[in-house]
Amino acid sequence: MKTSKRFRVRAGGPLACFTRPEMKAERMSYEVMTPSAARGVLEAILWKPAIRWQVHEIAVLAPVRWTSFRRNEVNSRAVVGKLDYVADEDRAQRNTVALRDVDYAITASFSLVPGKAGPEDNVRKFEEMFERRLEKGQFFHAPYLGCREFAARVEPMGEDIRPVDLEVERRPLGLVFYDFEFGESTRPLFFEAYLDRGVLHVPGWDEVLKQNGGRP
Amino acid sequence: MMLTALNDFARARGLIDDPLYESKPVDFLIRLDVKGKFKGLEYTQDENGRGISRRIPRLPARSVNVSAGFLADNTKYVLGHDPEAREGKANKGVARLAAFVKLVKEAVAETEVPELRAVAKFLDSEAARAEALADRNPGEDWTGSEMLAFVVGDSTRPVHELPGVEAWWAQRNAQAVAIGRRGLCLVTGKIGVLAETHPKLKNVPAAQSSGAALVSFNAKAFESHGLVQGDNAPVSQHAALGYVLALNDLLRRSDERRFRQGVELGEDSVMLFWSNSTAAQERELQDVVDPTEERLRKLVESPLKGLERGEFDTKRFYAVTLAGNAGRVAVRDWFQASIGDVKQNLRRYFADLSLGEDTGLKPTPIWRLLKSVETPSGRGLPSNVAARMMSAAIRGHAFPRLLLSAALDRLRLPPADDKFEREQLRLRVALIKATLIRHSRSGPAPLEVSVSLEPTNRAVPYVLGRLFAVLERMQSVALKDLNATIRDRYFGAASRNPATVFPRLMQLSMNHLHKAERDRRGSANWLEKTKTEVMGLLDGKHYPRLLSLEDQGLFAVGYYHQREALFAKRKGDGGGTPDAGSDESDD
Repeated sequence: MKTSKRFRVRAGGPLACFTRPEMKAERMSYEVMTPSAARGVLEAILWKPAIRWQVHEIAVLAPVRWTSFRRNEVNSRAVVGKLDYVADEDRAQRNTVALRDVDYAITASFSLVPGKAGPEDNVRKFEEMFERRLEKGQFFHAPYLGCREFAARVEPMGEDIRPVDLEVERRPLGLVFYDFEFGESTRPLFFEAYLDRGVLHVPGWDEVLKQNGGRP
Repeated sequence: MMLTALNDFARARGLIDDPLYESKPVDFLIRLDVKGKFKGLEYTQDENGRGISRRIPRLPARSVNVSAGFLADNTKYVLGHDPEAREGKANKGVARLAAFVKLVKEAVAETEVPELRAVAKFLDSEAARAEALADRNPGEDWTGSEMLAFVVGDSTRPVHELPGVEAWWAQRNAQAVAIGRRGLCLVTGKIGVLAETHPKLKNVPAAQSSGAALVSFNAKAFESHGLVQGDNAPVSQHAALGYVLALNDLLRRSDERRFRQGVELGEDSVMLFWSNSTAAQERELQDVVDPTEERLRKLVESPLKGLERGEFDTKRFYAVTLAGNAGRVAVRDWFQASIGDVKQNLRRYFADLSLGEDTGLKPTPIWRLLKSVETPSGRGLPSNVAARMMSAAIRGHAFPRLLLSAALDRLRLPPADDKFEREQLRLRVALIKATLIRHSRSGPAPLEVSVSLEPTNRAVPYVLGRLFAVLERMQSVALKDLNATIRDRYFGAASRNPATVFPRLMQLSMNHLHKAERDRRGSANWLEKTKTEVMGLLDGKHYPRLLSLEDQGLFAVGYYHQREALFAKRKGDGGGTPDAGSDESDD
């Protein structure tokens, strides 16, 4: 399986909410961006069936700050083709504890998916595509920070990464959501997360699957 | 992390030593003979009419559903007796009783305990149940929430505590666990049986009184990828019980407090805190943050002793702010640090608030501080101000700026109640002072605000505040017993637009001076001297046209400092001002 070089992307914005699954109805964010949120940012810029992103590191560049607000939302999910929906009759007032003024440096690479990548696909081609798109600020859909409404500013990140909390050697974050494992039944995967001098090191799929009790 | 910390707390304090049982007050024991014949009700209440706590099989989570306890439950389940049942409303009595009986019969079928058979027989007979109801003391009403349990024969041990029965209960629960889905628990990080729904929290403000869930997925919009209920956030049953028991323990009402270990923040939220230190440490911190009236009296003797460095300073401190939202509980804020850091932040909080010579570092409950800046109409501050203020106190952050404008607005209004006016004024200005200090710590230009009068401070708003206090004093020396003083009339305008008000005030003061010189020459001369001193600190002759919110705050602090200084002077050197004794009352 061919793997690309490592890219470094800077993503930040005024608001972010990487919702903890256990506090999802009344949303509360994790302290740092989750690997799946980072994957989402990258996929917003470039995704093809032939490639799969793997996030390696998330460096926290701005101190963790919180904010909290209440919004009127609804209880149902959108259904395609349903036209007679009245939001006022389906209200859910929900609280959100979100992060403010976040800034991250995401280090990630992608690999070609066997079976999906055709003979005309190669790593170099997608690498160049990604670089070009990132440089120009192009995207498939607006990149966001955890929730669609919290748009992200995304740009290439230079060498000069300066995480906050450099002096804290190892700060435990507890079990953090890793990603969904899609299959016959979808299940959430978790991993033991630490901030090492301001950097979250993200383990690979196999390691996480082992921690989650293997494949069901 | 939060749930993990709570679960650890529950384990450390032994709250889940006994997951199948809980401690609940039982009001009555139903005594049966070995054949199941009713013999009598036994009252187990103490002298206050409250049931004595007993270990009973843990009751299931209930909201509107019918779900029975095992061998011990309330009268609605045990006897099918619900005094609140009204016509037109679905009567659940039959279903409840059936659920209770079903569990007992299950046990009878699988064990050889004769006492169980007696209970089953009693429950089967409607006449016997009616007999039990009729055995109440005459005139005694049951609300339906009285707890009942059974004893058989001459035993003193309730049926649910018999060894055979306990063994069956344990086995039955083990079976229920065995059929549950297993997976990685995101609280403990271990593989365990996952909870489908979580137990409920009781006593959260603004939540349903029957209980509300912290972790819940009760609408489609809260679920992801077709996962239902607990699968959205896999938590083991054990951990779910653990964190809920921990929170319920902290939320419990105690004799002195609405929340055993929590600070009430406005109408709709509560900050709970705990640590991995000792319960005594937690109590001490709570007494400082949110002292009860009784504790306040004791604290005056040795204020803030609880904040001195101690052996537990490296232990962890956790705080969570919860707010109810009907059937759900929302987390508003979450904080963790070492106990030492929290103590240091709290010390600074009290230092920032301290004002005047004789007050020292005296803790004031946060609600009282905020009450002092509310408008007299009773319309309170926005509900989250208390939460933000508390969060700023334990984190050492700036106070909400809103407090500054609220306090200034309150100062502009005439005093509501003369009796508490002096104390209220102190609290208001203390809040202004602390807000200014904290604001400037994070801002560019440091604003120095001291605890008591600074005779050399040349900041214009501060000096103007002092001048205003002197002018007010002159007026009160000249004209006693006024309906409206210059403070009532001009404080707001003077602090906002000095240029438009001060010239007029100076004019007035000349009149006051003349009048005072006639009656009380000593006081008048001395005040005139002070006035000249203060005026000397203003370099130019021009008063500023407009003061910013922060400057208005500084004005208020200057006013307060000078006012206290005048007051102290008069009290202190009675000989200096000839008629000091005569005007003691007009403050």
